[in-house]
Amino acid sequence: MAVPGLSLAGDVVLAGTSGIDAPAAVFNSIFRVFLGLGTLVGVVVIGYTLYNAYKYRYREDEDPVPEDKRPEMGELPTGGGKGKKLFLSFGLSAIIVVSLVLWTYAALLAVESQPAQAAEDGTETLDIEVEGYRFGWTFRYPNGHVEDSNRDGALRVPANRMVTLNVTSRDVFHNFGIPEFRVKSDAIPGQTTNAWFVAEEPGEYQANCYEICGRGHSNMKADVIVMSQEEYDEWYASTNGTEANETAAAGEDGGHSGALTAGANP
Amino acid sequence: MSHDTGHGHDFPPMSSVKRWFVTTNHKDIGILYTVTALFFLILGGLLAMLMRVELWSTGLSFLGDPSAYNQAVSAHGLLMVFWFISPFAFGFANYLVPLQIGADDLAFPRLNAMSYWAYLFSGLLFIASFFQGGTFNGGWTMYAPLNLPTYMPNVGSTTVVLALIMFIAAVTMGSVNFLTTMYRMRAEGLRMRDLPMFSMSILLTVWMMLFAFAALLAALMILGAEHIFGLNYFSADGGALLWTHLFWFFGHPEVYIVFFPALGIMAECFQTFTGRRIVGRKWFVLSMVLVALQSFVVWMHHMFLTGINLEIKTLFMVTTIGISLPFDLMVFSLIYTMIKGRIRFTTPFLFSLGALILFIIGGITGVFLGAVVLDYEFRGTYWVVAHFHYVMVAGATGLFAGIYYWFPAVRRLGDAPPGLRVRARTRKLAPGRQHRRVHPRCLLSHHVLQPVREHPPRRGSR
Repeated sequence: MAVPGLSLAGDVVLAGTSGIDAPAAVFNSIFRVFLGLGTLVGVVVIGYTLYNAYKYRYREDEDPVPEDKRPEMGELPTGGGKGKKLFLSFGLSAIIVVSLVLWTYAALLAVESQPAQAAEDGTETLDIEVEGYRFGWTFRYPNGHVEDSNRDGALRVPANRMVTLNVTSRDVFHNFGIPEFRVKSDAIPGQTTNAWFVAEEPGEYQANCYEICGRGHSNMKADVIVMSQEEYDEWYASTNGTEANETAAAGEDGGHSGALTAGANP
Repeated sequence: MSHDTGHGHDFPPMSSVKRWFVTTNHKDIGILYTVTALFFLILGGLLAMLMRVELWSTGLSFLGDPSAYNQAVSAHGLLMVFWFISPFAFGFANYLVPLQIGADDLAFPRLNAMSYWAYLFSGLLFIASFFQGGTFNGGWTMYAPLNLPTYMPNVGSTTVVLALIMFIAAVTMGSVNFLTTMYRMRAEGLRMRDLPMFSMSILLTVWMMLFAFAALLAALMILGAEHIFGLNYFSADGGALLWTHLFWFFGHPEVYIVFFPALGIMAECFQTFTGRRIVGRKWFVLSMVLVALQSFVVWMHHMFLTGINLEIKTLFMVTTIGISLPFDLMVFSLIYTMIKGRIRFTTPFLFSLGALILFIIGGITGVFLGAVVLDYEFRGTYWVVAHFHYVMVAGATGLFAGIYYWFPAVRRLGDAPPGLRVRARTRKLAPGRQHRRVHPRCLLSHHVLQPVREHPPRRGSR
């Protein structure tokens, strides 16, 4: 269930029937606002710059501001006035930037606290251990089944269920990301990082490595297959013969306490 | 031509090749830095072109080997950041800072020459690495443990580590030299706060260099020991994360180390070619000081996905937003300097204006990255690449403004003895403030303000 207070992040869309604010929806809504405001600010500031450059251009026959006292040789450096205007624009831009980022901070808290929240509510989640290696990915399911992207394996997940990833690496620094679901996490040897996503539409997607890791980096991809719940249950049952609905509720896992932080200490 | 009597040196004339090998004159060394840096710009640019040709079509097409592409990426980044932009800025710094502050030369001219030659040889060492089984291929951030001999057994990658260590030696010699010069050898009466904007930017740059490069040097010395003596350090658990900390503790100040000199040049060009004093000079300088300090407390925003906890993420989000605000002020200050000006669209001004606009775009794209939720998704994408290049290219464009701005002066003053250039001039201040100040009639006041006089406002007054 959507938790009150978590939808601070503007028009966060609920992800399908899962009742969870998926990171993809959070990202998209915030990105749209940033893109709109960023473009506006860019156009206004650059436009104003060019307007002034044109307006006060040098003209042979007239001085636009003849009364102005020009700098002279050898004078001590001083400022050129207009301090009020400077601080007004500085204050305005500071307010825009600070309020924008504070607004997104609420969204950050929401994204980071949802796995713990889901655990508290008893929402069913799917925990997958992701391990990067040169050059592929393995996905270990709760029943011990392992899919390897270099052996026709894929990350198979049910639609509309929170999928939490515990990401690590076998050799060098990688980064696991599924662009479609706006999920990304560093895969660091010797430690585990966490991320989560919700896939809404069944279909085939792609995961990539986002940290240069050697000659096979560009091809370090994995298929991500989102299935309907029934299809997924059927597939999952066929692996190791373990029951499909045995996916561990996140409540049993102490690692999700509020943030994507497990194993962070060097 | 051997007029450098003030130094007690007799160098061969400038037309002689020998002079350029033996010189310790700051202007000569400034020219050497500039020319060498431009060479590395061309080398780094060629590597960028190789990358773009390879990316013309999907799959392996042009370079023939995935490792070759990774080498091109890594070498492009390392050469541009280390061997082009900073040394290019220090070509100007060598030439101009002593003139702007009224010093005869840098405090330690021989150390200055040594710094240049260490820089050149570190660059040659880098070039040699291409021919030693391939150069370093782990990206310019050199993340561990990919940077270890286990994954990079070729001699070339070890050579790059050594080249970087040598480069940092050159940087450190330069930093110490500039700091000593700027604190101890200013013309009498020239207060620090009255330094011309370019010298001011160099002062803050060398302070940042002194501390930031120390972290990288430590990391590289350990890495070098792993490559040469087989030490195990970054390969141990936690080594990967430790490297990111050490690298980015250096890496973030490095962005400002690269950009500040360009900002100084832009401030100078804006003043000269708008015929106005810079708006809010005091606040502009204060902003630069703030940025220089804050640059050491933002590094973990490069590491939001490494699993650092929410409290630390929050802290670094705050410092990151905080460091964007002084830049806001500086940008507005440059824009408002144009108001009521008499703007002459000379080449250096056009470069400065272009640099400002590029920097504005780089700043706006940076605010996106400051929002942690967005940063999560932008990690490792072209968004970051574009943001970074907007800022870096803004820096390079600002520095090119410097070339067009000062080149005529370099031609005119190239070999003039210091006594002719820097003539102390006393000026009486307003009654009631009876202290006298000495002004260096330096390149700044001369060449900044001369064009204003050459273009009087009304026709016929020439």
